[in-house]
Amino acid sequence: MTAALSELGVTEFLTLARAGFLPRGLVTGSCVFSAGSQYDWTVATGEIKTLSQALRSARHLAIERMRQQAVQLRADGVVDVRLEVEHHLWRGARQVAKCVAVGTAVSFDSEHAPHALKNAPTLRLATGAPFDSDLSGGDFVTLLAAGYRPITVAMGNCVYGLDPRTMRNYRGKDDEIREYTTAFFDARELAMERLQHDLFAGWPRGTPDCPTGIVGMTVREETYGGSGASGPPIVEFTALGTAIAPLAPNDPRRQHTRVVPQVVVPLDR
Amino acid sequence: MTDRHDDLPVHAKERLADMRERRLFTSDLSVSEFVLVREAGFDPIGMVMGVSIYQIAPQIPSLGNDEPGRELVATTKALYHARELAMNRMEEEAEELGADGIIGVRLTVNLSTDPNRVAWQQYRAWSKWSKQMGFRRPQGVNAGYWAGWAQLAQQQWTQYTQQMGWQQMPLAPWQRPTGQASYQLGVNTAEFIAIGTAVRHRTGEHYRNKKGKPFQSDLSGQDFWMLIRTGFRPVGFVMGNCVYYVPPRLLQCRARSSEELHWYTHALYDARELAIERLQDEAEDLDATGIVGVTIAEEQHSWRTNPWNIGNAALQTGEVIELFVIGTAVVPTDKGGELGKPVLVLSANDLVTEKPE
Repeated sequence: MTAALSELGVTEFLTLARAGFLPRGLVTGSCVFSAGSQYDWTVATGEIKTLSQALRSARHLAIERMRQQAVQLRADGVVDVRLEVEHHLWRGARQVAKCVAVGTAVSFDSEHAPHALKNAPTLRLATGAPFDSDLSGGDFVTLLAAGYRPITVAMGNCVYGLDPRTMRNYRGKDDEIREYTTAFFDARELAMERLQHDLFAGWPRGTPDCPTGIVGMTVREETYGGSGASGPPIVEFTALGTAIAPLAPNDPRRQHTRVVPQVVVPLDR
Repeated sequence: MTDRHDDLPVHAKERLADMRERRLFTSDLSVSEFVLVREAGFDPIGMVMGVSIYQIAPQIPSLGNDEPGRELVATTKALYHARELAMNRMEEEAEELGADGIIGVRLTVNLSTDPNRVAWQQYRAWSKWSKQMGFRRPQGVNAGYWAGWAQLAQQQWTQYTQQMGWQQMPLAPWQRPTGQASYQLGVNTAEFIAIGTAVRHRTGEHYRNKKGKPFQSDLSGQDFWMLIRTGFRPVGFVMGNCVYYVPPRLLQCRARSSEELHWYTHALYDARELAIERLQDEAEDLDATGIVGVTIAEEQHSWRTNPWNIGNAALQTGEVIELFVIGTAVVPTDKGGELGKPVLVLSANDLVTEKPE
């Protein structure tokens, strides 16, 4: 076996190794795309659909490219996926966003696995594709021990613009700005709804690997052009999490270790 | 059921209905939390949240010379109301999902919605950069200095890019997007967000509180497990706040002797006591036997009346402080148990070089 590059710390590496997983290499995927100029954007309060769409496909492309690398490495899956988006202002008012997905490809090595896990089935998806997840190595192993396996990184986004003129109606008042509340509430919900929607579209009910839940979900928000931008505020909300499904009933990982919580007193620090 | 919650946006209802129908759960629990919540007999059923964007108009009272600071009742109510709105919406979402409770609630206030505050952050970023690059600070810093800083900063940046021989002038470091989103919605606006994970008991035990609402709690999955195992259950998230005004006169120390600023002390003391008293009243309303995990936050908000002097406004207009206390009210159950003997461990994890969890 050739040497594999990984970002894993020693503890994380050993945790994975004890569960029979070895790193196959660092996998990345990226996508640079143009997100229009500020002058294209409307000032009305509402979703900017073209931008939402552009950012969504860019993210999916970055992840897809990362998956391709994992396939080439013949990995069973990718853990610790991070998805980063950087916004730049190029050539005057042109917005350019750079999307990078980085993760560590891992595969199950039955030679080095503990004896009880020798005949464990692969964690690849039914299509033969590797799984991916934004869980760390330690979390991944805990999840397996609890009887679940990761399926994929689930993602949804929504780009929303706000009308700055609304504020004129609220001069000198102690009050909720209802238009903005609704806008931000709606934008976050849309991001989360799309996450679910995309997941359901990929795995209709009854298909193998159909996810039963999402763990570690976060909703992040980023502004376009940053605080230096003139014009109406434009915000992107991104929901990200890992979709999980129960392990196969005959999977020995299920019985191997039952997670028993224990109260411990750490002596370091 | 859906008709009652007309406060929620359409997409919230769609998302929640979709989740119920598909029996998919979403959660922001970490894997360990997820495992522990299930161990405690609960299933996560969905991530829920509520938002409120609120404008707070600061009213600075004019006080006589012999008067100490006082509570700003209107502002206290406004800040309470803003949080309440966000939390109620989160609760409504949980009810739509048929939850028994919400755990891991995070109540955050995003103050970056105020352009003055954003400008102040930029100013600080610039002065740091300027110092690093060895630009000399202009002499005679006065009130007018603030208005002109952006121009001076731009001059320095132009000079710097020319020195470096760059063809194009990129955005200056202080103009680049920061990690946190900033919106510039308006002066004195803030965004209040409540996010948590709705849970339901697996065998349908009754866990709703006295008011028939799902309980809310800021306990992590670990804390929640420990609480349930030792025979307690959370009944609600209780909070109390108090906005207090301290006039500038009390902030200045004229005497040459060392002594306690007793009015200032009194103001903070009073504000804290008022906030905690309100917290206790809320817990008593829920028939709670105790409150766990109380945190007291002392926040100096940026509700300012003078936008041109945000750096040292405290000395001109006085200090506006909010004391905010929050905790989880609990009641005992009859299913108490022992946690087992604690085990001493010496972790071999390298806390310095490894990524923190």
